[in-house]
Amino acid sequence: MGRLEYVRPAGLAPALDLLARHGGRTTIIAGGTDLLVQRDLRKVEGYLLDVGSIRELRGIAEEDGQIVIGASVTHAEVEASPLIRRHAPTLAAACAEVGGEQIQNRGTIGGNLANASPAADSVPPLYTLRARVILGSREGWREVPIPEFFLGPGRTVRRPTELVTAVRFPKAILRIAFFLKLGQRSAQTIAKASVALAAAVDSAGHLRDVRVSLGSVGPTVIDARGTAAFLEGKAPTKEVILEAGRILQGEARPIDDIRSTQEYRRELVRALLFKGFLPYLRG
Amino acid sequence: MRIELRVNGRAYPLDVEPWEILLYVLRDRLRLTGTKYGCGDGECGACTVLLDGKPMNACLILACQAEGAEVLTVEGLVSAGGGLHRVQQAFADLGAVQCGYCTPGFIVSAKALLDQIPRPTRQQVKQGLAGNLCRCTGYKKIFEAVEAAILEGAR
Repeated sequence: MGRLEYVRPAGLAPALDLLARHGGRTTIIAGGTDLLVQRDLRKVEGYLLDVGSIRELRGIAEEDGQIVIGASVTHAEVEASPLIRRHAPTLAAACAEVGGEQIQNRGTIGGNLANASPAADSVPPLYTLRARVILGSREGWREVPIPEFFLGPGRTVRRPTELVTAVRFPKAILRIAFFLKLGQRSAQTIAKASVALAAAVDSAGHLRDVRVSLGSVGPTVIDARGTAAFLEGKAPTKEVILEAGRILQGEARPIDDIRSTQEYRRELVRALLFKGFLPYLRG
Repeated sequence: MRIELRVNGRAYPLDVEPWEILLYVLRDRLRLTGTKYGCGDGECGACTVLLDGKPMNACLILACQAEGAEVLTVEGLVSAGGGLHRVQQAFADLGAVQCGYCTPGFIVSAKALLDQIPRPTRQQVKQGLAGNLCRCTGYKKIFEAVEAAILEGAR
């Protein structure tokens, strides 16, 4: 059995210093709700870097028209935040869908991003918010637009010397916004498929600045640009939404897996889009 | 590594490995066996404990991560004089227990729920307890027991 050394720094600098020197043999833990299910730490060597107490990663702030969420903020804290409820209600709703209370009190936004499950609940809303992931290292910072952060299931652009430190998105007036997920159960469940949408509405009642994303139906969350482009400038009538659903079906890239089938998932994304628009349908 | 855990108001100095899980430290080292192993991966809630008042699955917390927090297990709900917490009493009075395996987890979760929302609706009870699974009861008496505990707390 090799040696595993646990460190829980209170500040960011020692964490980045550790990653600079030993990133290749450092396992990062925050809430542990993915890591401890996936890995037996008795078999891991090197450093175990607990980022859950790093003060710079804790907190939700408003800066220059942007909302910034520290990577070690838990799903429960995001859900309860008045700032998030006001400016990103679908993100709050998504965080309330992760597992149950117990998971939400441990799991963090940074962990949800870094773990890169295609079914991660917080991610489709973050796509619709046009979020950027902030990565820090001893060499400096970089920001990655969220669609560029994910490479595939469990894979991101984060280098071993880097830490996900925050996610940020611009405040925007999005009058229509929803996040819908269907799983086997109503809680403690991984999505078969999920749909997030956000849009502004102009004075004629037409959809503007539409963003649509799909979870759990591809190797990463999908930015459904074809559907968004179709909806742009249109009134949300039943016919428009039904047609949008057909386009959305085509943008999904589902597989058959233990949770569901390709065929069901294609039907499901169409149904979730329609269900999401129900309170907003016109004509 | 040397750590100090605070559990149910007491300090426990311990020597733990980094990979040791809080659930097993509570059960095997501290002999607090009220907290149960159900699934080991955070899906059933049988291992629910409170850290600083918030419910969490002890099976997914490293013992060293719990250092610095106030841990409360089901054993910590009994008063110094031996009196049951109102949630425990309600479960007993209403027969909300069959095999009893999920019960400590439910009781700890329910206590946290009532501390946060003193008079929850049935829907809030269901959502607050969504992380706890029961295979025996069908949940009806569990929800009724939590609601009975609300009334008890209101008196």
